[in-house]
Amino acid sequence: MKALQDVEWRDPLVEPRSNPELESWIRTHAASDYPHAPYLADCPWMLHADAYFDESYIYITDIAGLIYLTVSRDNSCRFCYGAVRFLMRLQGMSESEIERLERDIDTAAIEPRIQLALDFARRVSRANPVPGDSDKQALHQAGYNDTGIKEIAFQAADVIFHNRMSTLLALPIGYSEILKDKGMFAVLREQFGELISQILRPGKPERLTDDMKTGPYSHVVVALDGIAQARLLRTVLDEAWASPNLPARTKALIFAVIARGLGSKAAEKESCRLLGLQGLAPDRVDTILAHLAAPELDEVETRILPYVRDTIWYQAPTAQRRGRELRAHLTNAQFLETVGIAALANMICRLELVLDVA
Amino acid sequence: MDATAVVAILLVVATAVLAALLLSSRRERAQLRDALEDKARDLERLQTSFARFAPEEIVERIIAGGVSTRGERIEVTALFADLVGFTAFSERLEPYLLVRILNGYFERMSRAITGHRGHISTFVGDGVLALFGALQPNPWQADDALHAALAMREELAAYNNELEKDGLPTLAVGIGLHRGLGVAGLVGSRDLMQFTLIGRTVNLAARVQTLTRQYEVDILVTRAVRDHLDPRFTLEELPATEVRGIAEPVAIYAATGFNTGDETLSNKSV
Repeated sequence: MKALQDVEWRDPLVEPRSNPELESWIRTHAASDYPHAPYLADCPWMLHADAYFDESYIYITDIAGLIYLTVSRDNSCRFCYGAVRFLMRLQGMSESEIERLERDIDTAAIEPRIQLALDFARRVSRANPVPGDSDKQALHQAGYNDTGIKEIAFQAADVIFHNRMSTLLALPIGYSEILKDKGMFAVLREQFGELISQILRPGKPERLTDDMKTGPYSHVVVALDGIAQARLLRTVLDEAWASPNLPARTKALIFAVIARGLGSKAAEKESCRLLGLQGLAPDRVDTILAHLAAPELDEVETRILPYVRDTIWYQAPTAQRRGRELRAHLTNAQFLETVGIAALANMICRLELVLDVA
Repeated sequence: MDATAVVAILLVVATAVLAALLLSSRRERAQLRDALEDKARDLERLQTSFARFAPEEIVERIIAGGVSTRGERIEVTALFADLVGFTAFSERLEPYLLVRILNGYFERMSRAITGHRGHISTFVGDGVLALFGALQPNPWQADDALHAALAMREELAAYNNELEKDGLPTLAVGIGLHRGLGVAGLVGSRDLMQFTLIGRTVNLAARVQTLTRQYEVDILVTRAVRDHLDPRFTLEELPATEVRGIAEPVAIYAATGFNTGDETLSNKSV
């Protein structure tokens, strides 16, 4: 595993802005003050998604943090890695305990049941190849039920979303520097931890209502039914689709490119359906996807599509360099939404590949 | 000395011994932790160095699961490049100059290939075998491979300018591209292994590359590549040609450039 402090991380690709409405939303809805919120001000659904998915973190507290830590290191995401270490320390772990835990994960010295879940999460993220039935069978044998497997898959996909958003925008790294084992924090760390776990006590997940089983990419939402994250994902998808920074056609095209790249057949078919509603016939979509170019694409789409294919697998410095090239041709809001939709598409398509999708 | 004093002295001595033991154990733990961190840093350095000899994805796979000799049948596009007239060229040059020129050439070719999502499988003498779609599935592999070949043409032209300015001989390259199935995996002996592709795809790319001399062109693609190419690439059809080891004559096309709409470029970064 490469040392994360060696990963090149340049200045943010988007500008911080003031958005009083978003600031007020954070005060009333979010559990954290989200210091990076000004960078997402032009695209509030991305910050909402951040907060909703953080909320889902509480449902699998025993391994969620480990999945976050493992996948973020795997994706060389310095921002998310710092953030999860910050959360672990808030939950009562010391710096040296976290370091020992990382070493144990690297050397497979942790409980085999947890190691199996982490390997599964890592493979969901890498998607090369995606975990198959035998991997799920192994999780079953280790004591995870279907709901547990869905939660592990969702947690890995959630990290995929966060990693892409943070890395592709080069959000400023700061969390890991906030708390040190000094002064009052060193003394009260365990009390902090207890307090946090009291606050983060999960409720019983509610099933999807009928109206939640429709809408873009509902096949993945429905496959997650039974875990709390299904409702949150539906909300995020609906907000993303309603956001005005990119047209619905461009969003469906971004999803289609990522679905084609990952081999997510149902997501590609769904993108095709959504593009049909925008007047693009299936044969034209196929032509566009074959070379990521076609006369009917507008100037923004012509630039965006080759970029989003490189959000499937990437090295952080190359991804940020390519992003900077694209950013020069888009508005702040367009670029933000491009990254947000690409992050969401990577999440949805990877989930499709590991869930039992109807 | 009364009993209380003796007990007090013993207590002080015991406390001192305990404190010394605690301090020593603490120091020992700190030394062990430092040693462990040093080893972890060594491992990271080793991994970074190792990445120069094998693609990072392969290094990661080996670290995660050990050396697996399990192969995978996948669809890839192979690009084989070879310097034209290199043997005669190498005999005329001083060894140090030859190595300098070759390293400069490989550096630029590698940049063109990795910049278009390919990876170098191996260097064979002055030849380069690059694969597209071998490490990760890539539905756009044919486009990527031909963009890489056009970028290699541009890089070589720039390099030749530099060589000429230094009064050194210039280079010419022949590039062959073919798309097909192959078995990708770690191949070799216990002492030396490499990640490569086995099968007819690589052989055919190499054979097509040799035809560049016959037709006096620098880039040739087979029909299997052409069928997957973006129509904006400009190609010139050549007569189907007999190739050793292949029963049917092979349909080949010379690549001339990439049409962006406003102009035809011989290279475009996408």
